[in-house]
Amino acid sequence: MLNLSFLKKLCLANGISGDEKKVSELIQKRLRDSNVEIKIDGMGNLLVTKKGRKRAKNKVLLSAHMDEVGFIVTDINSDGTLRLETVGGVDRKVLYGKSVVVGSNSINGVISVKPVHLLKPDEKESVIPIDKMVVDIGADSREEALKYVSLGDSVSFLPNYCDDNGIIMAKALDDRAGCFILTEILREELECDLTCSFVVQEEVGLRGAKAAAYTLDPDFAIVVEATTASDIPGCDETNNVCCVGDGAVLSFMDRSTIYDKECLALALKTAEEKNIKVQLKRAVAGGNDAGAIHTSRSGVRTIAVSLPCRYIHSQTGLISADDLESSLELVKETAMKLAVL
Amino acid sequence: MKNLLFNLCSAHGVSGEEGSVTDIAKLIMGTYADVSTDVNGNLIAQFGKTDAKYSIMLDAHIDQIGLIITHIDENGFVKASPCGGIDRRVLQAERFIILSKQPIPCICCSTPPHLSSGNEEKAVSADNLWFDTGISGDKLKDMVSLGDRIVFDIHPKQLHNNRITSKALDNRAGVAAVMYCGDLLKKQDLNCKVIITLSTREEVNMLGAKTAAFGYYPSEAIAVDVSFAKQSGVPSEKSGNIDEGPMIGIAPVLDKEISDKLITAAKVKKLKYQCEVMGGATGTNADVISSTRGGIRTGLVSIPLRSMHTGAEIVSLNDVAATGELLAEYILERSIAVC
Repeated sequence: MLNLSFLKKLCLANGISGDEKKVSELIQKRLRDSNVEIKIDGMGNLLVTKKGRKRAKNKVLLSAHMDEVGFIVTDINSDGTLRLETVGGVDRKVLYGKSVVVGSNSINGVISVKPVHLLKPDEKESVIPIDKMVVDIGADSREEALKYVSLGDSVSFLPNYCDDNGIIMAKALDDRAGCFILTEILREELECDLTCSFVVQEEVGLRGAKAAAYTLDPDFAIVVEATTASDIPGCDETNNVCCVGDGAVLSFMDRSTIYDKECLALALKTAEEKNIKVQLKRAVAGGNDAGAIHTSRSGVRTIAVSLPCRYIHSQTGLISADDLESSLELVKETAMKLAVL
Repeated sequence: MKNLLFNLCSAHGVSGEEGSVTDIAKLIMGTYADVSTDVNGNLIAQFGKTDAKYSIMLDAHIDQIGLIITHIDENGFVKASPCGGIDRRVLQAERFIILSKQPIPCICCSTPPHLSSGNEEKAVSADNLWFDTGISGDKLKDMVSLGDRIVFDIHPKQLHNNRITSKALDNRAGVAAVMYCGDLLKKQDLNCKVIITLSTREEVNMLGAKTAAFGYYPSEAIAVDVSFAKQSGVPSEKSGNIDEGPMIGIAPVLDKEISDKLITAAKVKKLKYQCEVMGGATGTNADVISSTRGGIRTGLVSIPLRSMHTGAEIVSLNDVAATGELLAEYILERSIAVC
């Protein structure tokens, strides 16, 4: 069984795109005694290298993103409520009435809801657009709110985490789960040299990964991500993408990448040899940092290992601890094979 | 006051299963009042001159909105129906707790955007409320029973200006106000009997208040609840202002003299207050109490609250305290008048 205490710390930290510092610090601290070399680039990406027992024939990069979806304060109304814009893709139906924290001092707020009793029948069935939503922090005027909040402050979903019965429910599993996997691998003694990047700004256009891939110039890359699992009531089985509990997810194609066929085959073979539970992603949907990495410089042979995660991009996602362990094993074993390919 | 309200809001008491909240109130009020529970789970606290003919009932409902499990499927998901008028627009991807023998965390299912196909703005429909425990169906069936309640897993939090946000402030804010009133009156020499009822099941059919009013048949009664506070999108004629004090109800179903006397009490005590005028019934326990037996003269005092029936309700602690003080002053004056 994995020790999940560091995953908990990562999920409870707030770090929307462009404001990943707290997550970055946690990772640096965790890797302090792990014999790694850490560089921080101009965007805030953490570029980490670790020597293995053997020199690698190929430079293999593992990449996970530190940022999470959230909001940014764009204005303050005269009644002291805050106006928001989303940072990354957030579905409005998961926002209404949610608790949030604002700014570096983590001020409590809620996304205000017009009481259901005062609505017309059709209004009761629909959620207002995000640009009409406001956050109530208890302030009564713009002037008062400005004492606690500045324009441009980050807004995150209220941090939450629980793990029980092998199920993890938490904020920001996309992609703190990936950060956790990379960190745990870097803390082990490795067979071959390995390079990892913990990148910024994935949710706003795969921006950090682009710079990291340029600097590190790898031969192979494995993007470690969380991906949508729609194995829930009301969703057609043919549309479930992947299932929680059925193991690590390997993709052949998504919206940003057609994955390297040989590397994908190698990963599938590795899973079979090492008896690791895997499933293929059954939809051409979503996208991740692979989109930026595989197109870097003269091209990088890339695959993605994803964790099936329900309710991604909301206040709470759900993953299985077994899938987390399978993903970790698959990433580690495949990376070591690619290093000597 | 803050500690009391945080404790009351942290406890779970969906309609029909209010016991764990009632227990908190029982411990506190038991120190000065004769406390009992009746067949419907109402908590009744009697104090003052307990053999007096004249009795004043203060009613605050103690239940909260939630959901009730109607089906457990083989993949570990449970289906539920609303228990009270929960706002379905706020449910998706929210954290909840199943109140089974051992509490189980869960998430309200939310269809991912790529499958929403143009319905991304839609609230989840009442007949499609699924909750995800992540636990396998076989295991879950041993842990959960049909009829178990589900509540928001949302803890009280401090906001600016002495305000707090939580689930269940409707009506733990009212409960805290009547308990504070009891605390202010406990050492007073009263000429009348005071009956505080923390009544059950308001959110489904007001059964608790109906039977408690029948059973104790007070000379007069005041229902203490929450009402709409002004916020974005809420018309001012339908709302009070947060931090402007208790809202004194004026309505055809309420006793006009009680409304007037409440206003007088607020003026005497120099407490902020506001009038809430309604054209018919009030939608509170006052409606059922006033028509009990041969009729009971009934008033209504409400605490302004934002985002009602969600996990993001907001009240001002100042308003809760002022409501308790107003009720205490009213009872002190009535105690003199009726002797």
